[in-house]
Amino acid sequence: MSQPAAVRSAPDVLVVDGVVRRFGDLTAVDGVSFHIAPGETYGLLGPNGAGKTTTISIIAGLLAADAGEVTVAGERMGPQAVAPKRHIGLVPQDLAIYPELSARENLAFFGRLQGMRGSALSDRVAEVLELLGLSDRAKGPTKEFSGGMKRRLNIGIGLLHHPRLLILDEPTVGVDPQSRNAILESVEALSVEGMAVLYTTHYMEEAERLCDRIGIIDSGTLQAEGTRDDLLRLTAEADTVRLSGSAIGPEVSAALRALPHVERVDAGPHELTLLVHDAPARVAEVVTTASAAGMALTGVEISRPDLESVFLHLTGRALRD
Amino acid sequence: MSHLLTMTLSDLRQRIRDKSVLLFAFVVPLALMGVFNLIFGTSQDLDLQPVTVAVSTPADDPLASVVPDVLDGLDETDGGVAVTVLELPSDEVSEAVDDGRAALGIEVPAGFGAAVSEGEDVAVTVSEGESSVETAIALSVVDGALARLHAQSVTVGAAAAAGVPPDELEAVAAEVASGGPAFTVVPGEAATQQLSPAAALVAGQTGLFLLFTVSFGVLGLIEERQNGTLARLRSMPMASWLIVAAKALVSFVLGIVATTVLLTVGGAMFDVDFGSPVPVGVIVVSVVLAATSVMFLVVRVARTAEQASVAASIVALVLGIGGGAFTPISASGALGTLLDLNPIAAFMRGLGITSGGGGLTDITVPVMIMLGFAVVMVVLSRVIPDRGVVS
Amino acid sequence: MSTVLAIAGTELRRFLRDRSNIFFALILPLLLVLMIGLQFGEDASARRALVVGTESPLRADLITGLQEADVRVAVRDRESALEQLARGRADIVLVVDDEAAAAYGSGDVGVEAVLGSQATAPLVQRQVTSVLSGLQTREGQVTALTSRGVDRALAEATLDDVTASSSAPTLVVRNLDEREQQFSGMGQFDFGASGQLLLFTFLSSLTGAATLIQARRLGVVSRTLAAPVSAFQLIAGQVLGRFAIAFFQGAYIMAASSLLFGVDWGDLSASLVVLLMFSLVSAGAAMVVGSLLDSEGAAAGVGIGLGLVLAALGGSMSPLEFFPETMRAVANLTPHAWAYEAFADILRRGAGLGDVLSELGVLAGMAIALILLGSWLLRRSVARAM
Repeated sequence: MSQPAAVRSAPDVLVVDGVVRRFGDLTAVDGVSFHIAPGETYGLLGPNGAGKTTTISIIAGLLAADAGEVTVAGERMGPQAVAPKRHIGLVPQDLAIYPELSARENLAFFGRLQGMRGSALSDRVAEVLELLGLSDRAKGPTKEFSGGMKRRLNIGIGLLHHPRLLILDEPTVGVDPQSRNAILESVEALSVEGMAVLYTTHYMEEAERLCDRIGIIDSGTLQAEGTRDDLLRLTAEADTVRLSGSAIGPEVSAALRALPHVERVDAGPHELTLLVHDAPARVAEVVTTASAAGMALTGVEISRPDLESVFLHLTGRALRD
Repeated sequence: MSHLLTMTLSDLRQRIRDKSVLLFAFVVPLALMGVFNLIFGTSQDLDLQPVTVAVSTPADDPLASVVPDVLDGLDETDGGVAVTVLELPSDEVSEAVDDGRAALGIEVPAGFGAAVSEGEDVAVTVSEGESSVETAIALSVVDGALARLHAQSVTVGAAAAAGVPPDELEAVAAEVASGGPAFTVVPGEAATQQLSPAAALVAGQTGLFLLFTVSFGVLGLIEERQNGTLARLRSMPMASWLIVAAKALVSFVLGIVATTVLLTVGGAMFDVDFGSPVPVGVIVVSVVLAATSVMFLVVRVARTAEQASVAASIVALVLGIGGGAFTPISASGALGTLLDLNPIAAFMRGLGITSGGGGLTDITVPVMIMLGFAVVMVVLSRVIPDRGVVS
Repeated sequence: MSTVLAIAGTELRRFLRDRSNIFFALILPLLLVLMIGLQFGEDASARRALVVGTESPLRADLITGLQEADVRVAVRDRESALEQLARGRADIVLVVDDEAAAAYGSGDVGVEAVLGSQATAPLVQRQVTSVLSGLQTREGQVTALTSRGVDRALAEATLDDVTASSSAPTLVVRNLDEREQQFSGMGQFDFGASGQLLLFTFLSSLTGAATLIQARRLGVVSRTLAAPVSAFQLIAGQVLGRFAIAFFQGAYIMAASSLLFGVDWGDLSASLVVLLMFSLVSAGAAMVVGSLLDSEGAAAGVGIGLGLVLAALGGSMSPLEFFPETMRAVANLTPHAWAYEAFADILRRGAGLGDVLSELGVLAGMAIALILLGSWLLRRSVARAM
């Protein structure tokens, strides 16, 4: 394995060190390392299939790592480990609630498995129900809940026992805008309480809004890590230019790549995404070149550097669903 | 320990809510017993109905008249069928069967007596509507009578050939017809550990149903994965084998309840006594352990809910049939030994011993077979690679 | 129709996509084949008698007579014979004691018989009785001659000669459909392999209920119904997919048990059509359960419950012929009873496809009724929360 779990200067809640996981010939996670401090919200940003859920499964002790190690609150995590699991609250991407049981019973069941008892448990269950806005629906079976209510309960179970690390795996996938906003607000509130949060998403706006630090993951490796500003600096202030339209052939991309100020070109079916230095001054040249190469343009959009530009800069591909 | 209890109780609560516990522990077992009670009643005897047989015989043929005579002589007393004989001309016999006046038509052809006496080929024609146990019994009686007629003519022929004077031949025929010395079947005393047919039915069905019941509890693991809750459970601060153990415990509880209900109610319905409660209790606990253990193997190899339930029903049927739940399988040698090692066979054998008044020490062998089976299954499920639902 | 086929095709593709299903569809059922083969195969030792007693002419003649009637006979000491019988390893124990052995040839003979508890035991008892009455007749014949001064050896030899040169009157059974056959005794009420095949096919089809519930939960059903697909088409498609799997499994068990163990299934094409219709009914029943219930757990419970109770009612656990009249009428409510009757006609009475059309018609009617009921229930179920 790599270095032993060194005593670090800051008492990190989570330390992930050189974690590798293979499935047959596929290396899903390839040497990922990062750490999260108390009260910190860390975002793992990457497209679908980048290795986010595998990483999280290893951190939550559902999967064993083939190499490297994970420590939670100083204790080594693994499928057989018991102690470190007290400190985590896992919110799986798919719903993980019992449809036959009520919201209160679901909460109480998992609270008991976390070792909570008596009035401490019932008080906390009432508190979380209130927080989730489910107090008046606490008794009915959850199979009668709306999708948004189930999502909220799913998160509530994860934070019931005041974990030191809350792990949220894409909590907003398939959620309506209103519920999504409610979820984001509650995550923001958690970091205020001092809980460390690990948040995976492929929506860069969510990562930008919530996370103190962000790790960009692709093909199982961590491409870059830092605060939003740290990451933006990586692009050396290049702007993102999106050309929408049709007839996007390889010759269009080639022509654009040949331009001096264009750093990256990624072609989608109806859109070209480019990293362009000093875009406002260069956009006319970009548009002319694209048209000349045969593209039928329908729109142009320039945006200031954001995490999407960073992703494009690092991987040469746009961040898409 | 408290984790195990929390999960088991929560599981049972959900099963009570979706009513499957009630189905498995009470409704289905009672329905099954009820059906069997209706089918077999309190007695195991066949409920034979009287039948009418249309018979035609050639005129002036004393040998032919044996056929209506034996049928007429039948009544329900000796386990036979009460037969009403309808003597008709030969052209009306099959008609009578057609229009339902008779269940069976028998036509003895002209020249029958002469043919029998000469040992020549002759066929008695039978018209049968819907065949039934009753008609089969009537036919077997006629068949026996024909065989006796043949024996008579053979003996007369042999007597003549061996030089018995012709005037004694008639007496020879009469002697053979009257039957000679009696060859009888005397009912013997069965071994005390032999279950009565009703008891074997109750025990066999209980064993078969038990296998389905325990499969249900263990299949809950698959539902757990479909609910997404398996991942969450595995992130809880407890050993992961507890999750499987909780399901097994649910199976075990269901199995004990279902088995007890079936043996008690079935015993009452069919008026069967399985013996003293303590050894019967030990047998029940052992067989439920054995049945539960085999389902671990199923969840170990099955990947989907569908595979698991197909595998579980095959395992249940194979062990049930092999154990004699439907009807005991006659076998000897290595195969017989293999069948003896089946926990359901051991269960029935154990109940046979207790119903004959056996105590704890007498049931050591069947109990050891059931527990040994459980141990082998658990060890096997640890040894074979896990590709199933829990991995 | 193409919609129905598309849904059925998807269902089948899902099944075949998972390679491990091959183990569950092909390898595991061989265990069941083995069990069916043991009970009903060519070499099935279905009738076993154990004889107790020292070597004697009576014992020898009894054993020969039973063997000629296809009963397997073994000699055991009394205790082990009774123990084997109690465990169901034999049908009957016959005790030929010294008194009986000595009386053979000179007087009345009583053979003690202990019956097993299985349903087949009374049939073996009848065979024993008929062997004994054969011996009795023979003894009567011999005595009739010896009492008239004929030497016993000469009497036996002359009787053998005359028996060989003459033929006995026979019973020829003519069914109403004019097919003739030799009367062959009581064995025709044997409980056939078809009952167990029907039991398994129905049970395994009902697993399809869980698949439908899962599809409803995942929203696949709502999505499909939102497309221009009717509930009837959806159910029919699902039924067809599940049916194909159930039918294949059943046919596989029939083929394997007949090839490996020589189990007789009668006219194969007719048997397969009966299985086909029965599989359709089973698949329809699975869809009704899957539309009616919302939890896989409850569906498994109802499936197993229905599977076992209907099988018991329908003669899959004990022969329909032994049912009292009212129960025989009730049995006709189950698909099992109709399929059982059809199999019985094909197997025992040598019927072909044309002779079992009425049974097939009832099964087809049941399948259609279940599919209609299923589609109505599925349409209603979409409105329910899961």
